[in-house]
Amino acid sequence: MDLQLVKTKMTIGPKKGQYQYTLKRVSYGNVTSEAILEEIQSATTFSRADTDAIIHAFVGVMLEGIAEGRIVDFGVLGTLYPQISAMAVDTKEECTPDTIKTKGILYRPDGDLADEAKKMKLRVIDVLPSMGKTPDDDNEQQPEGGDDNNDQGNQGGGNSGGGGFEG
Amino acid sequence: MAKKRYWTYEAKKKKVLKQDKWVATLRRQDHLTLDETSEQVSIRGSILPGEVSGILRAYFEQIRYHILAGDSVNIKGLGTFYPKMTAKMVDTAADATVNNCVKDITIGFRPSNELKEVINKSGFRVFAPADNATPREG
Repeated sequence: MDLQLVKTKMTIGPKKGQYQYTLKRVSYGNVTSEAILEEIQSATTFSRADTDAIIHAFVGVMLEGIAEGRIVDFGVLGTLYPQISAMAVDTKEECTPDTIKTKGILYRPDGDLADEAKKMKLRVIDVLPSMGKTPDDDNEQQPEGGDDNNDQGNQGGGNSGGGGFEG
Repeated sequence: MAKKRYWTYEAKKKKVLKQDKWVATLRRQDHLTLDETSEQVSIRGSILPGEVSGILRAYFEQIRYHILAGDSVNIKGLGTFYPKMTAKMVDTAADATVNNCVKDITIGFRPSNELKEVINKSGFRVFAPADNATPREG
């Protein structure tokens, strides 16, 4: 994952007015569902129209599940589950839908995916305005190590990211 | 006309600031598993559930691969999965290294407008055990 240095002037807190620095993920735009389907196309015997229809129907089934308040399973990606926050009241009878303040959806990544995410290779790159990636493999670093309280543990630097397509 | 969908809640007793209170809590239903999803998709598309399941698994694996490569992946109609990083601020540019700044990396999900609309349209109904259910004795 590519990161870039960002400089921010603090507007609140003890360091108000001072410049602070941090790293931020560089976004190269979204990979679309269509691109993913194109990539898996070679691994199936179905036509592109069929796989499109399957994914379209899959999204429909997922939306219906969430509409019914069900926890939906995305296999290796994890689960989405509905969530509400509500006001506390004194009696059971007062507990009506009016006490529900917010409703939304929460995502819980699959355990293996969450573990793999912590081992992602990170590199700080220079991004020039209006230009894309400037690869610099020498800058490649991992978040582990140092004196920080990180205990994720390296696993030999192997690339266990699955897949195998060039994006 | 589209069928109205509901999230089911029930009143649960909780301690709030050492006082007994009642709070509306979602009643958890069974998971919509990948197998069930595959079955429902197969009914709509006249394709065998096993074949649907195979395509969905390949699709998820490929999304996973992209996320772990640092990309955001958008599933049209559902939302975007993306690698999410929390980092802390440091005083100088020289101190802004991966080891100094990066605190955690996880995966985030941003729901699409369609999904938000589905959630907003869902109503609430209180959990009501069947009226004619006989209490268990003993």
